[in-house]
Amino acid sequence: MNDVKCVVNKEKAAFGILAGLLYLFFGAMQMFVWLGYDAAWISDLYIPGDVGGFSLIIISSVFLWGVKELKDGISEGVAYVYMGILLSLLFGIISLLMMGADALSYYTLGGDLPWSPLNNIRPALYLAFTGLTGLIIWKDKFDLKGI
Amino acid sequence: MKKIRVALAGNPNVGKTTIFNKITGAKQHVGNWPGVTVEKKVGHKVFGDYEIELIDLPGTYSLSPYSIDEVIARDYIIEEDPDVVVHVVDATNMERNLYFTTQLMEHEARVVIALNMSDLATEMGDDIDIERLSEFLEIPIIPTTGSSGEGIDELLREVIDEIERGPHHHHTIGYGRSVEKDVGALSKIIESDSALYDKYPTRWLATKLLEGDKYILDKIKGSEVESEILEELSCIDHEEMELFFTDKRYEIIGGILPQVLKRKRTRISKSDMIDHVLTNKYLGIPIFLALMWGAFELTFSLSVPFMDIIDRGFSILGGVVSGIEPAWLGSLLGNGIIGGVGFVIIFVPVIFILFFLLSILEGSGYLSRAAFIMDKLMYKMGLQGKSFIPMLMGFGCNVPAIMATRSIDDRKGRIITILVNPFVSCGARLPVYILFAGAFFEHTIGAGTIVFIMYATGILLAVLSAKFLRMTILKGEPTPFIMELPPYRIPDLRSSLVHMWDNGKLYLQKAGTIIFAASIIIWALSSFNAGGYIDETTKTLDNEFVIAEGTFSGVGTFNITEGVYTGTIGENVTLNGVDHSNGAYVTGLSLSQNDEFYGNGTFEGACRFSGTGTYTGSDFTIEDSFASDLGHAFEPLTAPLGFDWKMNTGLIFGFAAKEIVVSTLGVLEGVGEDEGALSVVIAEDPSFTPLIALSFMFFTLIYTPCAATVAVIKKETGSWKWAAFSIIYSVSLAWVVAFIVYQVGSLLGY
Repeated sequence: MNDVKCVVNKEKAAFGILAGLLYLFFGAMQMFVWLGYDAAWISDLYIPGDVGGFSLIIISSVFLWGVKELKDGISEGVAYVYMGILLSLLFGIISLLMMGADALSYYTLGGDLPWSPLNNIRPALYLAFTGLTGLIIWKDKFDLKGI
Repeated sequence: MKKIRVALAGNPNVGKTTIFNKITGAKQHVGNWPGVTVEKKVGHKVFGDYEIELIDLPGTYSLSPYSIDEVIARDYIIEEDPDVVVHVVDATNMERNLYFTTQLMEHEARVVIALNMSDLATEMGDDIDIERLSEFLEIPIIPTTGSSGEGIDELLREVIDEIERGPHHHHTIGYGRSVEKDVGALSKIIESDSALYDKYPTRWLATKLLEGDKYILDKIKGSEVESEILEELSCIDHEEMELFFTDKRYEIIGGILPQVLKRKRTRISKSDMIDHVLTNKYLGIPIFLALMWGAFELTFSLSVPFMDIIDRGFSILGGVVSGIEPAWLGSLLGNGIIGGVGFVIIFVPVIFILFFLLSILEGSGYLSRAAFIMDKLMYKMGLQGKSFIPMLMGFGCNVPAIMATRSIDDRKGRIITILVNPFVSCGARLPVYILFAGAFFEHTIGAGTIVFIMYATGILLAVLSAKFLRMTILKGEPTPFIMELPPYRIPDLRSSLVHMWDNGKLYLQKAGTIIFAASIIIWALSSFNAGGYIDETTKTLDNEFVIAEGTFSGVGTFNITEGVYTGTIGENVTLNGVDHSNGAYVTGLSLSQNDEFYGNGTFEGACRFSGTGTYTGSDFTIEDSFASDLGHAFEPLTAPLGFDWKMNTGLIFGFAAKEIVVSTLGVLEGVGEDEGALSVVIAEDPSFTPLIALSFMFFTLIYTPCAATVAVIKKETGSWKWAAFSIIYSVSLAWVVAFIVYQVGSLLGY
């Protein structure tokens, strides 16, 4: 039984590392772009220059904290991985709603440039697929009834 | 129809207000943290042959209160003696809740227990034998779920049955021979004073006297048996006795619970797991900041399309009324009412969306965690975590937030929390940030980020001011913070919408009353001077950039919208398809949009002019008005902050309500009759720069609380001294912060 639990926690730790590093990279890049860094590949990855990068770094910290606890044998570390997934989805939804608001603004009042979803893509949006993957894998853990 | 009074009492955050709303159909604010209700609320319900007056009391843990809201609950139960007390018990936390039951029993109140959140207890694995518990306590118990209304009718039926049962059995807790002897002796003395005997249950009074309850000791003052009672109490150690009574009550509860409650909570709950992360020593505050930032970004983005639609509507309306004759009436309607009220209404979507998001955070139970994670920082600053909740409430309106400080038991801590609360940015200040952040920072740092910085600065200044006050005029140690963290819940959409509507409604009401009246006054002050209504003005321009319609003459740059020019042209330029050489003289040249040239001559029509010369027209009448005199009078004080007279006037009127800062600028900039929005006008007005905008936003954030807040500070502190202190301190601090921002920014070349 303990072996099974150990394997499951290893899966979560691996997921936490992957998600944590992804969020760390994109969060840091977003902050660097905000501080003035520029390169050709930045626009290919739809990284805007704004302080929103700090929220990605915080999500990264949550994932990586969980990995640290799991590595130290603290089983509550899974809570960080689950919360990381929830925060990932939350900020993804926020980005999606912001995209929707931009579209609404264009289609109700018009604008100088035609609206395109590509204009609103940001790391918080596409990184939310990481959270979505976690949600699908461990969906039984996200039943919020009776929390 | 028989009339009865029923009090809803119980520990904080057990769902009393939810039940109150369900019974009475009221829409009182419900939150998932202790201390939402700080005043008693009254509602009515007709049930069967009875007209029930229902009183929703603030939460209290016992009948020996420590904070003002608890005093309100205690006073009502003891002094008003309701016909029935419905004790709302949180089924997920029986032990602590039943302590209050024992106190009600001792007070000989008629009690019916509403075992609320029983669905949640079942989901958590608790199995409660309600019938047996009822037998033990000799009190009827009805399981309820306030959010869905389950059990509410049964509860009311039981209340009526309790009334109709006639005289009820008085519950007694035995305290052992030695203490019973003291209780008996005191009871005997009390019985000989009919005033005391008729008003209060004798045994309860005796136990409270033995506990040394100050409130009860005050009650016996002047009694004919006062000296006898005091003599009897002279050898009693009240502190020890209070502990003894508390232990005994918990002993009884401890004896009952194992027989009626079976728990299957073995694993760490989901709520605990979430808390493990959200209250993490290092990650808790960053997560809180990220969530608040997300809320502000989302608020700003979602509200933009709605604001644009409203803005467009007001522009059309402004265009329609601007042509109304006589000119003063068109100006009053366009510039005064539409320009003033309209620019407040535009921000309604922001207010509604922000409150909706905050109420979702509140309903989830997260805001209690915010108070918890902030406790350490707050304690260092001379406050306790409990003070953080009024601060968060201040995001909505400082008035209820200051009233919410009643749950703070430490008087000095409470006064400090009251005094620093106005630094927390209320919804009324949001339009100022949105306006300036949108005009100057949308394409740089981001408007949402600037708004977030304003809110964070408000909290920071509140905390630093608390430290300052604790170190100086309100010295002392803050009391330790004890707060029960409520369980996480999926926010109730209806409650969130009601909360949003309540706050948004206040904003709309202000727009329709105070701001409407203020807009007319501001319009009058800006349209009249000692000579009466100002139709036209002549303005001397000296390298001043103006946008206006009228006649310009002089040397400068003319950027034409449409009009006729006569004079020399100071550069080689093509105008109207004709090449004009440097120095060419033209007469009555009709110009079109965006023709720009340097010249020396006269111009009639609408244009942007910068240079030296004279302007005659109606666009700058405001500069000859009373409002201008008022704003100019404060220029020596505000010039070091980068403000001009219009900003000064806005700030002066902002004392009535902070929204008026924006509506005043709307009137003073003449936007009501202009085709451009206020944000466009101020972005083009050289009186405003991003640095001045920032300085102005900081000043608006910090300077004097609005009139309603000053009044509530006086009411809650019981002194004009603190109200005056609040004004003087905040204005001084605002000046210092804005001075630093503007002067340091200027030195850095911004």
